[in-house]
Amino acid sequence: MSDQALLSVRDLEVAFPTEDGVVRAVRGVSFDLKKGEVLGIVGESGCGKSVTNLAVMGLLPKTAIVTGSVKIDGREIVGLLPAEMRQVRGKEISMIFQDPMTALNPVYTVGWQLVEAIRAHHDISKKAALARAIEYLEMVGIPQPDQRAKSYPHEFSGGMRQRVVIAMAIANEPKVLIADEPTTALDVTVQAQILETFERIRKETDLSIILITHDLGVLAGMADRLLVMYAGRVGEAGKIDDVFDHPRMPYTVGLLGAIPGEQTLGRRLNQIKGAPPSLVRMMPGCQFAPRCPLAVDRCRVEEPQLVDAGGGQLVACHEWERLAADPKARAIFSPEAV
Amino acid sequence: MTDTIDSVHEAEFAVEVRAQWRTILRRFVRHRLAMVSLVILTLIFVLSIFGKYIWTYTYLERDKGALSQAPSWEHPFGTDSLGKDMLALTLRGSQRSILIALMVSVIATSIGVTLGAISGYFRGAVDSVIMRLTDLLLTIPLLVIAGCLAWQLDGGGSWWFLSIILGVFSWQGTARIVRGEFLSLREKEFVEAARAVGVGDRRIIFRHILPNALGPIIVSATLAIGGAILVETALSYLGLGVKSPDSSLGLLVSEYQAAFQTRPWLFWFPGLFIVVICLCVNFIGDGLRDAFDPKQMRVRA
Amino acid sequence: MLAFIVRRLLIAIPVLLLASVLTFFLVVNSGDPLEGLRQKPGISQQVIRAEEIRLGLDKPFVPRYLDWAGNFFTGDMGTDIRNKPVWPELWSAIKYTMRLVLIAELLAFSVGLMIGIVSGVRQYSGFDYSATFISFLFFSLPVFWFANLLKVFGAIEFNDWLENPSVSILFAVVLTAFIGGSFYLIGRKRERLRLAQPGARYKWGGIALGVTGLVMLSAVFFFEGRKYDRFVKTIGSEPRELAETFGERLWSYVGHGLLPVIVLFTVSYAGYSRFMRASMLEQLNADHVRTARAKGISETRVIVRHAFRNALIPIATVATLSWGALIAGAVITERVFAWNGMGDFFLDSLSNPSPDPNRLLAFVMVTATFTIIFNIVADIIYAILDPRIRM
Repeated sequence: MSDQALLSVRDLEVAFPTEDGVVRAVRGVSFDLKKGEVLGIVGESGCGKSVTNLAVMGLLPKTAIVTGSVKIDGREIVGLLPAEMRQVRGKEISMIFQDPMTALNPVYTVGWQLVEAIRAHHDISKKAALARAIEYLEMVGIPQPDQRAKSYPHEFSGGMRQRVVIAMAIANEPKVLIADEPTTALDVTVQAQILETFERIRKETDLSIILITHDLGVLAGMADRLLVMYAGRVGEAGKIDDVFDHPRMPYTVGLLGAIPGEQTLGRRLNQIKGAPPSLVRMMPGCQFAPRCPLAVDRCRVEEPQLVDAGGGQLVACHEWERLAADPKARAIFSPEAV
Repeated sequence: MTDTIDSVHEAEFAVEVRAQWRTILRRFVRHRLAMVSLVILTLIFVLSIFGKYIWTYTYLERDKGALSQAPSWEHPFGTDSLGKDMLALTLRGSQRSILIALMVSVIATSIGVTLGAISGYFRGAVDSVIMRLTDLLLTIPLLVIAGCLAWQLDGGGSWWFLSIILGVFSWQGTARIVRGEFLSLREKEFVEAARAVGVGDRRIIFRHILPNALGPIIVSATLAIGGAILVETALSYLGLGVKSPDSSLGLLVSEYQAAFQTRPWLFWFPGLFIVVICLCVNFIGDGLRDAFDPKQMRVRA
Repeated sequence: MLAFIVRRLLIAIPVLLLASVLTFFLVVNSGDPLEGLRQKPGISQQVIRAEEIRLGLDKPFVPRYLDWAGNFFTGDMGTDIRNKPVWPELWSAIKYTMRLVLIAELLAFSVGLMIGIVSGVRQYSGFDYSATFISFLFFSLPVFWFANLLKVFGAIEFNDWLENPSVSILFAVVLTAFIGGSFYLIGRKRERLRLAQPGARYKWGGIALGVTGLVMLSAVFFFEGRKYDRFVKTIGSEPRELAETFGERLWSYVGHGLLPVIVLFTVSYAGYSRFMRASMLEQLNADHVRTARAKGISETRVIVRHAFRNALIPIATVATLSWGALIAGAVITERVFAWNGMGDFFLDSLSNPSPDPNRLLAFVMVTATFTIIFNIVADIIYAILDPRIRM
């Protein structure tokens, strides 16, 4: 059953009780990830993309309230006991984070940290684990891995550190790798190297990757499918070429239009006016309505659900058909329009 | 030209600062323990200063009819062997000790802020010199320094001299903190912007960076009060600080320590006052620290 | 590493010299050493003048300083006012004080660290609040007052109890109920967090209840009719009579040292526990800890090997700050408990009845030297704990 989803998320909701009220960071997110697939998740800061994935990993603080279903290879992991979740984390699903400068423990050597990751899930000797660690350092492109394994993190550059982090994440051959903004803190040239590393690993091991970013350019070359998130929900989802060519949700249009490129030379960039909504005091209806040029009365009352917009592309917008029919759709956010 | 730009810059800045203070105040008020401590401390402070006008007995009066009495309605803190009212004595001791502590904190904070600011802002050689000075002064404990210099003072008007000595030798902690703040704040963009517009160093330090460093400074000054009370009372207890006929809580404790087993009230109250004052100061300082720290996020578990 | 140490030592020398100038300044301004003599009736001006010359009081600051420094730094601490050599007495005093201080510091360090860690890991829990309150209390406790309190309750009252020990039934019942109840609550919390099986709370509570109950019951019967010597001593550091065996000597040391150690413990404990708590909180929210958790290792390992190990790094700073407070504490404690340590030496040199310059100078210099050495040790510990500094 090669079509069976490897990772299946259904109606995931995450809420945090705080002094100012309950923050509903994720409000019903569903998606599938197939084997060997790269899924990109985009959205503004605060849209819930990181929280969703932290929930999948079980890395949220104890006070977080998580409901819904997350299944890896058919096994439900929401609600697992901490000890059981620890067997999944780092072994079946791995996650890497944004800032490589602080991601590694400064007081232990890189080799030690890799060995720790490996021995957490395999009952092998330190020597064997170290040998394996060196293999993975080589796989991610660290030169002289046997020497470098004895180095401390501060002796590596940012890009190298991120590679070490990747090595640590894949050392136990996980089925899914979640990368939360892995290149945001790095130079453009280093970015390209890291992405290339991802690609190489994927080819060698058939790993599935969830790539979270706010940078669409990163996804253009790598992702198979795209998930656009807004205010804790999925706004649009589909094959990446579909979404880029014919976005069905105004927010996606806005995101795409804000990318500088050939067609924007000499013109002002489109911006989506306004700010992301507060997740504590939510208004009824679509959360994007206040900033949406296509909003109608229905949008301010009823929050749209995900519907099929054709060809496997899903969209949560009341007006998607109007958008699809309009040839000047891409210009709805341009400063000349309105 | 520079003046106009600067004043606009300042006007915006002022608005931002006002909004910040309201948030900080709100957060402090939420801290129940700190608020309670504030109330208690104010009460003690007011009583110790105005006590002699409110309370029936003064510390000098000897109630011949009530020698060595345990606490009663007439004398809530009891009396000593000469009939002196313990409540009056304690309040008078508190007045002295609190006053000294406040003065010490003011002096130490002023020196510490100045030196820390200069050190952190100008860096380089100036910084090194000031930091070496700080280290040097830390090699000798405050009690020893103050003991050497202050023990020979007679009772009477000597308390302000004691305050100065204590203040002049206890600024190191504040200086370090302020220096740290200045080291990081001077790299911020608003400083760069001010300098680019041509604002002079002194103005940058006092009108731009300092208001932003106020949080840790206030916390440090508050906690310094607690430290000062402990040092002063310890010195007075040992006979090296405040002396008769002047009073201090430390002095009271040393005077009556022998009586502990037979007339415990004479020993308990002055000591408890020190503990309560210090606790309140520390809780308030902690509350202030939480209020100023933007990273605090308390989740209702 | 060796270069590191040597460099630190070299910097220490000018610091020591400057400290000696400061010290000299302090002592010169500490009062008139001959005040007592001047006030004695019948002493002639000549005698006073001779004493002044002997003590170097007639010279201005700089030559007087150089005279003393020249001697001091070549190992001669001089003699005190009564012409007794300073060093032997000071050395003996140092030994007493160091004994006290080191034990107290070790205890404060270990206990403070442990409680700080638990406090940090269980932030805002009942444990955290109580531990925090106790730390605050210790911060606000005047040493001289607490020492006296301990003298009465920890010694006199306790010794009275020892002479006629008994455990009241009321006390036994209350304590058993309290302990049993607490363990029941702990078990219930573990159940709720799904760290233990349902029904565990009864097991926890029941066992605690049973064990405490048994212990209390036996205590009640055990102490009936027994009698013990007064164990806790409040005066001096050693028994006055020669103790027979090593065991007796040790026991006696404990009896004499118990209270002073407890007092000094409270002086530095709070610093360690608060520091550890704050440091742990910072670490537990750090990126590298998040990475460690993402690897799937056990929470204990995350706390100990990752959070704690990094939280520990700045601890040397706390330790060095402790030292100043400990000396001050020692001065007071030794006065209250009549130990002949450094603190007592200091007070004695200061007002007996007037300051004794050579003794004071020696004392302050020794203190300063210790501080400087501890600072260097702290730097070394820092480098050991943090590989980033070693480079």
